[in-house]
Amino acid sequence: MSVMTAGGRSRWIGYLPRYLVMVPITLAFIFPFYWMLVIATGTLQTVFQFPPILYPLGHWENFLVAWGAAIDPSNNQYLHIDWPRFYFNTVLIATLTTLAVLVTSVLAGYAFASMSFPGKGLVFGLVLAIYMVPTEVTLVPNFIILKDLSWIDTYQAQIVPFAASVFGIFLMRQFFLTLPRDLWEAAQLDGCGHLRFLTTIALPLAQAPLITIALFHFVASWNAFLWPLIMTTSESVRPVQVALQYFSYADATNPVTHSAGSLMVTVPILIIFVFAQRYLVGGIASTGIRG
Amino acid sequence: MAAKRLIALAGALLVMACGGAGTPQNPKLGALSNKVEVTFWHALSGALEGGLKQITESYNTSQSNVHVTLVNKGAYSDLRKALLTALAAGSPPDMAQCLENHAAKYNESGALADMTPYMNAADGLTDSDKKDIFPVMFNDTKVQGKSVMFPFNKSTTVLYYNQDMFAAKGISTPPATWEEFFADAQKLAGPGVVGAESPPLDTWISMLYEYGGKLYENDSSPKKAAFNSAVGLKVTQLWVDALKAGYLKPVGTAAFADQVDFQNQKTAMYISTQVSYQFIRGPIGSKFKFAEAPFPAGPGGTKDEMFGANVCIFKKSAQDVQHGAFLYIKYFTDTAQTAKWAQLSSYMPVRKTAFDQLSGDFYKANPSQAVGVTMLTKGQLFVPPFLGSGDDQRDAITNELNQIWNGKEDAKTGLDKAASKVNDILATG
Repeated sequence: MSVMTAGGRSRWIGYLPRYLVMVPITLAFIFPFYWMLVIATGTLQTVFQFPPILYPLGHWENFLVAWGAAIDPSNNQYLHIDWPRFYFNTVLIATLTTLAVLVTSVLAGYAFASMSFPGKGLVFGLVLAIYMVPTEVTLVPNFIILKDLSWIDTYQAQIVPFAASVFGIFLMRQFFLTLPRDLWEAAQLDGCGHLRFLTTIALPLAQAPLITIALFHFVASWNAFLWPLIMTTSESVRPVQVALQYFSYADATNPVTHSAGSLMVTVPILIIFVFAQRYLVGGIASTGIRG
Repeated sequence: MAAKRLIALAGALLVMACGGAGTPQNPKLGALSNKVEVTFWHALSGALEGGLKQITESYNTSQSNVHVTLVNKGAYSDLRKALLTALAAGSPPDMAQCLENHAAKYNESGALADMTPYMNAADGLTDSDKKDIFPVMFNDTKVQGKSVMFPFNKSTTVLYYNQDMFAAKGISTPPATWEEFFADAQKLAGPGVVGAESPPLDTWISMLYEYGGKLYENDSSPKKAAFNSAVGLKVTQLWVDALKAGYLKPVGTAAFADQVDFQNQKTAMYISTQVSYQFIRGPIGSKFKFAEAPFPAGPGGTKDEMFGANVCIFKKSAQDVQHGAFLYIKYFTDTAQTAKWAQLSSYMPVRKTAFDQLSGDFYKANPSQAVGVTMLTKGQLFVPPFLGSGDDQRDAITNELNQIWNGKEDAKTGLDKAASKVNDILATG
């Protein structure tokens, strides 16, 4: 049996206030996901029960109903949702958007950090100013541009408008600013140009911010709903979030299958987040930004 | 005599010059002869979307001129957002489902096509067709005098009641009036069960009119709210008193919480659209017997709000595409199809002949399904005023009513605040 030393006890007591704050906050963030699981594995009878049932009831067949592999007992019909297609579309759109964001963020971030050109400060200020513009404001102008390009109801309509990110550019610029100037000067002596320095020296050091940017934008792209709903008309290019609308009816809702569907859509991104979350802190810290 | 002939000749020439004879200013459209593609944005999901697809596919295969492509744009609120964006970008679909308030909003920029030329076209509606459509539905389609909507999926509110609970309390018939409703609710309440839940906005509006009140001082030209009148206060207080007494409870904040409570036998009565039948019959199954009853009457009789959606055609589309869109609407709302749609969806048929046809067998076999449309045939349905700012006004009133139902405001304070907000919205458009 281990005995806590005086030092260990005082350290534990020192941590206590932090845990008193962090644990409730963590629970508050986790609870909605847990509650989604409780509803998804419950029945229509238990959903609005009060006092609520706070543990999963184990009706895992609800996921089969949401997938369309079992009959929905609420209406004795199969749900006809082309999940594989919707998942494929989402993965494709999120992956290509993320790759595009990485490329543009690295190039623009490097230029703003390491290259001199007239009006650099002004241009960077303008780029940052874009961050202040709400997405809703750009909805109509972007729609008009895409319509003129005949891109409505296409994959590119869901990728290209999000191919550059102010956050990504800013983060990469901050990271490149932390690289010692000596590195660049030494590389120059060895005959390196900007592009070679960037690809062979700077980028291998930038894994943490790159993963951070990738994670942020993959999640944002995965969760996109309003934009694809407005820009697309056919299921062949629609992402998985839009599929969730098939669980909402004008005159009713089925919270059980809806939650099951929502969980099916959320779990992949949660898994990615769990594996990649440690890079988030590292990524932000490596850019010199401190909270 | 010569002078009279001269005057007659001059008159005839004047009439001809003005297009009164032989050269009409608005010549009747001929039948559509070329092929057109029509895109239709809608907000129907689940079984309703299945029914819509079935009838649309049958239309597409029944003729070769018009091909209709359905596009699901989410819920009505999502559809509205998508349409406003598309309209701002000058790229709306050819046609869409539209609630009255939404149509009024779209038409603020003149985006909607007047369907009159297509109704009067050679392949349009005959006079008997027009007379066959329920007048309250037909009259509901005009904005600023123009027929910019056509009735499509129309419904109304009915009272669902748990027949087993009623029988257990010795109540033999559902309530026909609000007095009976509140009295029955009191009898039905017991441990873990209440008679009903606080009313949705549309129920409250219907009651307001049944008790002789109205939404605006001048409903035909709304400039000032009038629902915070003595009548509005009386109607609201009826619910407040019942809620305070505990035999009713405020509806939960989750979507359709009242529907699920009724399914779970937490409430004995549930006021909702007749289309809710499609969604509650499965979960209820054989757990208990339930039926639909007409919306309860007030001192002024039954004035039940009609809702559901119409369809609009957008002016931006070419004339022949608009024409094709109307032909699809005509097909969807002909006697056979609207009767089929009513059976598939629980919406009301839009034609009297379809009602007669359904009365012969379907409504006899499913009497609950006939409740809403029977109220329609008795002239008990009405459409409250609709405006482009209608959604904002509804939100303002709903927020205050919820405060009242939850006991956070008294009825007078809440209604006055709601009226003030609505007046602000009316003033700013």
